[in-house]
Amino acid sequence: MLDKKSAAALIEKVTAMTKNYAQARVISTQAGSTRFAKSEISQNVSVTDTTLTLTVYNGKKEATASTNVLTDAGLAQLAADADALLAHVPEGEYEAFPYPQACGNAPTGEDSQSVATCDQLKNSQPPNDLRQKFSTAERAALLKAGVAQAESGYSASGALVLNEQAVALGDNRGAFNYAAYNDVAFNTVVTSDCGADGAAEACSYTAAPDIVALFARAQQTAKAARNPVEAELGAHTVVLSPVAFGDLMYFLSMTLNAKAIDDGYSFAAGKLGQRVFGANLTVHDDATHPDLRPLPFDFEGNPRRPLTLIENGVIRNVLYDNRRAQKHGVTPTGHAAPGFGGMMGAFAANLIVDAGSQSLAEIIASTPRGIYINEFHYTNFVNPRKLQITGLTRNGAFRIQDGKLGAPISTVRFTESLLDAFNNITAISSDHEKVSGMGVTLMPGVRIEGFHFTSKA
Amino acid sequence: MKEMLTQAMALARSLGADFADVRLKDIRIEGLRMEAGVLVAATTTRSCGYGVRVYAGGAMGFAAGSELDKLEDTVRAAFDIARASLSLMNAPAVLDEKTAAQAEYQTPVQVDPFAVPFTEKLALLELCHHCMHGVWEGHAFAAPVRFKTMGNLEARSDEVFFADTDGSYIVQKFVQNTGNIAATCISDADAQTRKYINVVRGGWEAITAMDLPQIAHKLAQEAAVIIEAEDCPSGEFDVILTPRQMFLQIHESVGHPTELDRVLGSEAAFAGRSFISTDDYPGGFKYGSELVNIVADAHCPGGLGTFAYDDEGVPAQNVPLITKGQFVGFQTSRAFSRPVGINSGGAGLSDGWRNLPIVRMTNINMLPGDQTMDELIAGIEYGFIFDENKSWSIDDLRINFQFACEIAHEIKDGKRTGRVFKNPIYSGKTTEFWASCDGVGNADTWELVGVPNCGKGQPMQMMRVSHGSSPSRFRNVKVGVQDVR
Repeated sequence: MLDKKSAAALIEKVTAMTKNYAQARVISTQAGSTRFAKSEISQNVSVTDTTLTLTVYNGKKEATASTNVLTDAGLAQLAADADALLAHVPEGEYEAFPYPQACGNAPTGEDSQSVATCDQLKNSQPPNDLRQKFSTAERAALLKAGVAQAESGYSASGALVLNEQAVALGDNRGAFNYAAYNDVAFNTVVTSDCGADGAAEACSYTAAPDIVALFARAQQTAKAARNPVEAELGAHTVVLSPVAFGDLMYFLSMTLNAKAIDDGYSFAAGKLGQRVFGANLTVHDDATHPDLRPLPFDFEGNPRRPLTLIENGVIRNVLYDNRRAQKHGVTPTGHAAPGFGGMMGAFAANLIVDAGSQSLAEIIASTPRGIYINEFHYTNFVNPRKLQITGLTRNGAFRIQDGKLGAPISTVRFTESLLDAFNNITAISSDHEKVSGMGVTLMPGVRIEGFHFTSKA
Repeated sequence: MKEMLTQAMALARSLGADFADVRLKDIRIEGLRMEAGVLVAATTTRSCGYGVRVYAGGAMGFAAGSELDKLEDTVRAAFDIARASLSLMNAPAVLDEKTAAQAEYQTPVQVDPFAVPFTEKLALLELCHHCMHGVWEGHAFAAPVRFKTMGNLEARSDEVFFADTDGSYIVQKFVQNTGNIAATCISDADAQTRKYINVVRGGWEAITAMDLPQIAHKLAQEAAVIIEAEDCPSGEFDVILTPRQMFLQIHESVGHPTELDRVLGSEAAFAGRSFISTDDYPGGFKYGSELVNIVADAHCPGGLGTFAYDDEGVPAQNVPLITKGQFVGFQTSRAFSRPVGINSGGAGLSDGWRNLPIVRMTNINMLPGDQTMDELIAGIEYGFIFDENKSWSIDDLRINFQFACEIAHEIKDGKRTGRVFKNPIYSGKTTEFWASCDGVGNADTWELVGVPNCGKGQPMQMMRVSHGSSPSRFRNVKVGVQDVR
């Protein structure tokens, strides 16, 4: 993986190869992934790569070239390709914002109080021992101990991944930002011979997850999920685990950006400042949270500002990348995605939903009748303008009767507008879990009334 | 190149590998993207690297890197990973045997898409944009509407060098083109898009053959109509799916469930499993009506799954999956074929150099029937033609699906009425749905649709596959989702 000094040298070298204003981005990855199925290692892999992307600008003209061939000849070809493309492109609408000189520098005119400070934003991932604890040999040993949790008649599948990444951004005017971090991600599904499943997952940028305990949790769920009964179609009270709720929240977050609004696909068009969800729903994006990804700048070099998206059900902010910020005359929020030409707009990689007052166990205990859902599967927009989503239950769903988990239910499809569902949240748990989404998020469990099951599997 | 890869394989042998193979892939992409008539991205990308797979003692290790001078280190890393995998192995992996091959293959190309002038590509996108706006300027909208156009062209080449310890050395070059345009009408209350995207192996002639300006005209017309149309009625109706929806119906409810690695549980924790079991082979079961004939055809001209050899050095094949409605075969690789006592069907593919081959669809095609489109329509008293996929979801076992399309054309008394509806949604269960197929369009109506983004595996691999089909008629389909606004 590229260190800071090497990344700086690489960016300085390539941006000097063009006379145009040039911004370079380096993403360097070292990943080790051990996948297992039927309680044995099935795929055990390691990947190393560094990709350099160079965008050159001339006024409102821009062109981009990208390569992982980082020899002198490869870099020269990269710069030549970018310049050659630039000579042909017509003028567009966007004139590049220069990269900020360092993290935390407010763009011109920005209220410094709303920008995270350098101290907050510096690449401050504390030294951790994830690399040592999740080496290839350690991953195999942990999985061996974990799959031993599977009882007779059950088997475990999943993946345990150590990911190390460095991101560097710089230009030929002297700007340079660098961040490096590592993380561990784990997921497992424990399956019985009779088709009952249980699942558990974890991700962390700091402490090592307890892999064996997660296997045991999945095993416990799978055991409880035997002999499922069919759920009735129609409206139900549901209690969603943090993982299941995070799945829905991902779709909400995708619509809270200026590109989605400009393109006509966001429910949020014209609703800034309006209350659209229940007063108990507050959603932030906050890269400064110590449990979330310690990448202090976005893929356009802007500091990742903590931002409240939904406050007590009111849309307070949406996300802007440079392109949309320039178009609308506002400040970019620090959420630009890595795609070319702003194609992906901005995204919230560090979502946090404010916790409630009851534990998830207390929420279940206070639910007279309902369905507890551990995970959803294959969720997708049906109609983003209405925030209408569909998907299916997976890996553990249970009836709740008189405050207790009861019979498991078989797979069932839901189709629901989140505009309805997030107005019908009647409880939010006090306990967060880290949930993988576009990045890593902090999600509570919730209870939702009137959630529609629309077909049986 | 041959010497370098051959030496790497010799090193793997000397380390103690039972078998090893290496894929070096050099991938180049050139793309243009226009939004609202403005070029927002002109890009060129190159990704070059190699992946080494080593089997030792019955366990597998895979390592990939992009620095050519570190290939030997990567071979050693793959070997070490394989040895580490031994600690959690129930039974040694068994690869299907194959014959060593020396071969070269190249996608037939008439006009090199990388040699087509930038200005010509730009002019094509501009023409599509103006075609769309020309339609909208002449359309009488009942309420204010704003417009958005999108156009994207992409040329991609994959040079693939394969070697293994059996002595194979195979060089292949694949060339593909993407044509992608969309017309969106946006009102205060809604946004409706009509889009066309196809990805085809071949030269620039594939883009020319698409006739994107003509398609742009049609898309703009239909977007203008559906922005003011009513939602599609709910109920049980007879439905004709066009090839631009059939491709996904085939992909999700036939392609994925017939992948043997899913059947055997290898994807249980991520992509999911299958309702099909190994007990269903070779006896088979009723998957659909007698009109349903589906193959995995790696020879199909223009298909994204067309090649001479897969990424395990196995020759391309045409494997029947469903014949006259009966399930007859799985999609298989060297690692996933022996458990059902068959040879690899040549579906061991990786999406690039970073990832190892897994079972992937090639070109999963439904063979044409014998009816014209008019004859299919004539067989419907009241129903719809559903065109172009918009939303998709299917359960873990690939039984319960729900799809949404962009537009529904009404049929009454065996004829199109000219009325259209927006937001058609339909759902069903896989084998019941395919059993309800009672009409399949003839060869003249058959169309190949390329899918550039089939996700599977951990780490996620985004594969390029194709699906050919004709418009097909299905009876008593559940349309709409009641009680949900």
